[in-house]
Amino acid sequence: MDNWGVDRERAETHLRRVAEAELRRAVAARAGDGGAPHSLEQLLKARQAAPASRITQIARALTAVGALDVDVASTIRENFALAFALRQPMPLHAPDVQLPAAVRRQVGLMRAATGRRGTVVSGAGGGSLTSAASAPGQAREADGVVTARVVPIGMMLPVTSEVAHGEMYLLAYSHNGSSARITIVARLRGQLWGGNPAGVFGLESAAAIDDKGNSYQVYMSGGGRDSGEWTGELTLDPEPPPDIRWLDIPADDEMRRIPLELEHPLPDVEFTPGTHTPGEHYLHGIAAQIFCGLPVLTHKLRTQAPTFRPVLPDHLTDGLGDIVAALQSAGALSPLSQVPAQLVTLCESLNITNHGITEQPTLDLPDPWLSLLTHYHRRKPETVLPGSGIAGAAVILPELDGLTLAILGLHNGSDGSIMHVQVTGLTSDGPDLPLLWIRDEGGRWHTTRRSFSSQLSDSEMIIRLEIFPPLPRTGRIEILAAGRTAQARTEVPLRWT
Amino acid sequence: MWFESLPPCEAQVPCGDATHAVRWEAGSVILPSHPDAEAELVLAALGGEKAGCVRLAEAWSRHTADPTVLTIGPRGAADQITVDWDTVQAAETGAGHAGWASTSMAGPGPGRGVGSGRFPMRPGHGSQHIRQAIQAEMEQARQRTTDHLALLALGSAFSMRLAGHVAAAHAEHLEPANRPTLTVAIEGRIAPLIEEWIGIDPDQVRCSIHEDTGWGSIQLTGKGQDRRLHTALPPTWLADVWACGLTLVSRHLVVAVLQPGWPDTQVLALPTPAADPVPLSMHGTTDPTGNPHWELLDGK
Repeated sequence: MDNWGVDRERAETHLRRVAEAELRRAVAARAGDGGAPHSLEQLLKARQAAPASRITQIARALTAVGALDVDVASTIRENFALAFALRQPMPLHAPDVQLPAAVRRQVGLMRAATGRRGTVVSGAGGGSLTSAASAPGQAREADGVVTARVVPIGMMLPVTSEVAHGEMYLLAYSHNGSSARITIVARLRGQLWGGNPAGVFGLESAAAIDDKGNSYQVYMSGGGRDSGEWTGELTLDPEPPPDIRWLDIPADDEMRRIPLELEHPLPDVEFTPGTHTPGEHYLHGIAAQIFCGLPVLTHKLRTQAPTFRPVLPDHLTDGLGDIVAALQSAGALSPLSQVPAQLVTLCESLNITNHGITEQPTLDLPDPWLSLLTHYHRRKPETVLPGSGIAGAAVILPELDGLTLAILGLHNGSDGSIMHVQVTGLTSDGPDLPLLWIRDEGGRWHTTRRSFSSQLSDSEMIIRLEIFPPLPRTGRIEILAAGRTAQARTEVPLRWT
Repeated sequence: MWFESLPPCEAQVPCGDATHAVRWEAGSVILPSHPDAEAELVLAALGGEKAGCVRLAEAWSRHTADPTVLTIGPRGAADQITVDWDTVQAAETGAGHAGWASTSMAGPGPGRGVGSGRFPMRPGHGSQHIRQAIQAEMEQARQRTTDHLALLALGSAFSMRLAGHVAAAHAEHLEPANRPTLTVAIEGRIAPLIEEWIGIDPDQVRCSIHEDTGWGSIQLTGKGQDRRLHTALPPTWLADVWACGLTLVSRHLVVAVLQPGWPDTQVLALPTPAADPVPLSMHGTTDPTGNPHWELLDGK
């Protein structure tokens, strides 16, 4: 038995048992066809039935809760895939007989062996803590331990060039002990559709200068679509000292000063270990996916097509009962847990009937679920318009499941509400990101979905999270970050520009 | 020994330009066309070509304790797996299998619309030694798959005997890491037999490993849709009983072998789930595939 009552042997046995049953059914189905050649319809039907998808779903759940190693799950899936392929009345092809799990393991080992500097966030560690409060805005390095530093900015730089003009919004500064960057959103007007705005903003050869007189090359990276919005980072090279107080950056033919001293201490963070079992956490993740998959029924759409009924994300819930059974079998989900029943309520209130969970529904829903469900059924018109604000914000959350999250601002843009988050501690087969739930000043809960990412190194990336439903221009937000082993809760003031 | 209840079997194998017989007998693979296989191995080590039969014998010895054999291989003599030698050869040479020679190094993608960025690349990122390690792993994976396909190409008689060797190799000291594989290997093989025996849906059969003395246990619980059959059998059941084809004889489920032997053997078998096991004497004949076929001796 492992931590949290998770039993790896039972988890592996369960997955193998499911795969064996699927293989048995596939063989029986083949026997039933009398060995006759497959018609196109039969092939399509067989493909839709996809016996391996059930195995994949369950393997995904068991690895996500830490009940099964990714390599073990991959090897089981691949061996059974070969067993399936060997029993098909068709010649074998290379993809049927490749066994890449060992290769992935090798790559992971090699990368792990390259050695990295460990980054530790100040204050992270357990109990009630004040993130970075003991040394707000400071990055220290002692005995090889590096402390991260974040500072909210919330500042706009108006810049122009010959080809286009626009604004660059600076959201937050982050220094993780090995590199420093500023998260940005840039909005362009003019001729530069979809191009890199670096030239427009004159940063190709820009040199920033700090309060000590050190100068840095400023690199711009990130991505954008044809909407004229660019989301990314400004990276400083070389790495600055940990205690710089400001940066002067050239923009619009003059130097703009970016203050990097905290006006107020970073917000407190409440850390609570063991709020959910790993299985409950996984099911909460499925609920978040369901909410993120709900179509946004805008006022305009309802006006144009009053009888419009959205397609609900029932593909997310197909076979949920199998996942619940697997999690219970592995000891990752107590048979007494209310979460399966809560998922039944959620599915059935959205007319999703293919979940396969046998528990009776319950009215006792978690607050975020109830809030989101109520919002959906009221079909409120969305109140947030594209481009309605950029908010500087910064806070470092304590380590959750081995991952450290730093919130580095958010914006309401052409893609909806986006939160910028730096994640440190990633590994090739590490846990999923913690779930982030957000409550606005009006008490309404929002959930998040991963949008696009910038990989900074093997263990670090900046991700953008779409917020559902989009966030209004609220003065502060409560962030609830739920990991597999603990959760962190904090209130962050937003400085809108 | 568990394999005393098995007759010899034979398969034809491509070897160079010829086709040679490969024989299994009393737990060993024999190469009648290569009486001095050890000398051939020495020559091969000095740069000579290794004979197909010899490569096959090496593959056999590499996998006599490989639990993967139980996952991939047949669940019974009727479980048809057809692998021809052309497929084995294609796997061996990598012909048409470009995926074995190269692999994508794509890591977590940057997502839509994200530019390449200008972050400094770390020294050693995607370096030569990682590629070499990947290549070595790919080669090992190719070797394993080629081995499995070649061993399956020998036919079901060899495959079931190999599964018996694997089960016997793990029966003495069952490592916890192999328990799930062995548990499901037994369950996957006994469940269809139980359906044939008493009509229970194979999905309703649950097996666990019996690690105490004695043959184990079988227990029927519930009624209707809640009916379940719980079995606890030792890993040796796979070798002593299943691999020897002694599973279901004259509506008796064989749970252990009392006195192994060919063509006559004594087993312990259950007439019904609730009954005590009874000793039975069996007589075996060999079918055209090399698998044994057993019948109850009159009056025994």
